[in-house]
Amino acid sequence: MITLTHYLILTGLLFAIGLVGVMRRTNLLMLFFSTEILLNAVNIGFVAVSKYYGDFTGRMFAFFIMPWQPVK
Amino acid sequence: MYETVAFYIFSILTLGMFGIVVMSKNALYAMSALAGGMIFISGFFFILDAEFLGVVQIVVYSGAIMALYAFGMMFFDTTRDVSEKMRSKKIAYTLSILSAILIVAILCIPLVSESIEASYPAIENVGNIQMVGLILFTKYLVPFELAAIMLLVAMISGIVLASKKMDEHLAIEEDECEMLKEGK
Repeated sequence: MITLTHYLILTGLLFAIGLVGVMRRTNLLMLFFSTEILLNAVNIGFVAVSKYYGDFTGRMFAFFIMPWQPVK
Repeated sequence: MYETVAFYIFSILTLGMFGIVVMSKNALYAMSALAGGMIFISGFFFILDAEFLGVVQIVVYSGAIMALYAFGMMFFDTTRDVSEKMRSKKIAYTLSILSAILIVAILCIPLVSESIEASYPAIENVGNIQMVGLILFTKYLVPFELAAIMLLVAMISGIVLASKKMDEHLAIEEDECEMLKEGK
């Protein structure tokens, strides 16, 4: 059975990959890719917490993170 | 059972894809892997009963953002390898691992505390997408409008930045036309 901890560990791993990318890359376009990974990792975390607590706030937060990408 | 299998398959695929994005030297491979990873992430949203977010994820990321980056990539030479000069490997890796542990700790704090109640609990007999609409247009109406204004500002500033050179080109063309007329 998948618990909330599984999802949070996955979020942490993805966030770590994104951080490695941010520190490693020097090209601007590649840097943008890494920041997208960071935002997506956090989105998974929000949605997972919102599911396991039966609350919609996390889902709304994830929804409001999405418009930042085109703005960037 | 299916949930477990799906979770592990999607997590392995996502981690692999994003690993390619971070480590690949070829910019084109990195972009394709990023598009794949985004679609696999939408799989997590479907497992977590957030169908609306999953669909939005596919449409926004792999549809809009990837097309945008594909156009952006035309200004770079994609056949050339991206050169990465790491000044200090140790510091970068230690910092990233430390911050990952910090993030896990931050996200685990709600598990420790027990007195957490849902402020907007799901109502029975109301669908997921319907519920999203209900909350979005009542409690979160102001952030929604602000997001719209933010997108408008970004669009206008983009046009302004791009159109500075457009004026010059237009002026040059007009000059050329006038010169041609005078020549006649």
